[in-house]
Amino acid sequence: MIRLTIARKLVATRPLYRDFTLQLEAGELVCLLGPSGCGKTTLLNLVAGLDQDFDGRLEGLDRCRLGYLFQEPRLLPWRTVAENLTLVAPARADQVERLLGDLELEGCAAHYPRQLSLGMARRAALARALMVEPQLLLLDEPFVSLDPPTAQAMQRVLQRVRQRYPEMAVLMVSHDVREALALADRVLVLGGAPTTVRHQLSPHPGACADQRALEERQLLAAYPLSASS
Amino acid sequence: MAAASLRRVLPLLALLLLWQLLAWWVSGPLLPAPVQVLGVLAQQALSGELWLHLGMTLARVGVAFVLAMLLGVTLGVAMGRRPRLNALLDPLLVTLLNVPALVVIILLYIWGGLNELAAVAAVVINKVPNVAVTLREGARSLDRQYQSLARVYRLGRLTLLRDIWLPQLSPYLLAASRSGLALIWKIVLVVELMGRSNGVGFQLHLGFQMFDVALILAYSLAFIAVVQAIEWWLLQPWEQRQNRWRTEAAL
Repeated sequence: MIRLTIARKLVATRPLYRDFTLQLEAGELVCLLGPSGCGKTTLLNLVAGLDQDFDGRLEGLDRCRLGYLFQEPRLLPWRTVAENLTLVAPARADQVERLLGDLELEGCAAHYPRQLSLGMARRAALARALMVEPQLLLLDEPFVSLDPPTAQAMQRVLQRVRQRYPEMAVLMVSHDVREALALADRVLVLGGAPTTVRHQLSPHPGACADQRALEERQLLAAYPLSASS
Repeated sequence: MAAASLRRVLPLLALLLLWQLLAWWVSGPLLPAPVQVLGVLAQQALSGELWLHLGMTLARVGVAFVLAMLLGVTLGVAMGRRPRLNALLDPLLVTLLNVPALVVIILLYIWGGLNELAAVAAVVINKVPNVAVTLREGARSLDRQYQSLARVYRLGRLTLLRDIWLPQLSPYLLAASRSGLALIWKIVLVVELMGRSNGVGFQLHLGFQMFDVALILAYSLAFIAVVQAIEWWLLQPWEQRQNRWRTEAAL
């Protein structure tokens, strides 16, 4: 179990979080929903250790086994896809090739990132995150600005990856209620100032259309229109 | 490929032709023809003089270049990364940048004597501020996103330097190397002219005293050829290798 406890997190003297706790079980996918500016990415950066300017603590996470898929792929443009992967953890060429195959990136090992489409670059960045065999995977809007078929391919890849690493916890930021319901074990709707969990919902796995619609309405009702409403 | 190398040589051939025409027109010792200069060059090469002087100059250029790059890159990157250090050292850097090369050379010769150490030190002091200013720009342009990537994946210091910083700094390093080489060898000649008893600069001094324009041109040509060779066979291949990701990605 991974637990982030924030006693206080200030952003330019304004308290963004106060007495906030986030908990993740092994293998669980938690999705954070909420308006822009409510601190979803901040939460990821706190967990990743990129932002250490807060009162609080993080327990149960081995930071050497943390994968982070940033909003933009952030691949090194001067290294090929394979070299980007082996940058974070040493691996043999066939291991890299197999991982790329799993992520529907066959034959891309020798490509430079600029030769990839956004969807491919995202998957390559996901492959890089998986190189460290993560205990926790952070995903910052992994499906945003992808066309629907590409987004679906990416979701399919994510589900396959979760089956392959059943112990891996996933913390995902999203703007899309449907996407959250389709993928998450638990959805947290964030909002308010300081930010709190406005609503929490565990989508029923394999729910029928009516049930999904009901869950969707529940989430949307809790979804505040702006960060401070 | 043949067309490309022809394009490279063509402007130089045109210059040679112009020189020949001017030499015909002047027809005197003040402007010897290319053939005469080549004759002097061959004679200097056969007697071994050319290799001695060229070698000494190249050695000084090499040592001064390496030292100036090491110091300049370290200083420039540190200043680019640390605003407080930059605020402290910037006025000093601007001052150094504007001290005439000649002043540094004269002062070091006076204080240190006419020796090799003073000669090389004078060149290094002249060059370090240029390298530092260029690399400071480079360090300022380093992308913070890759910095956070390195932190998330716990990349080591060496990996950070080699795989994240170096590729971003390479255009700046190349610019500093190019302008560095051009500036350093010119200053080395002045240093040699003023206080050494060998090297291309010394030979130029000799040519000046004897009004031997052919000798002056022969040594100038020899050194320009060396610098051109460094550009073609060292700097340009390095540049192409560093830029491979840009060109391939453009296809």
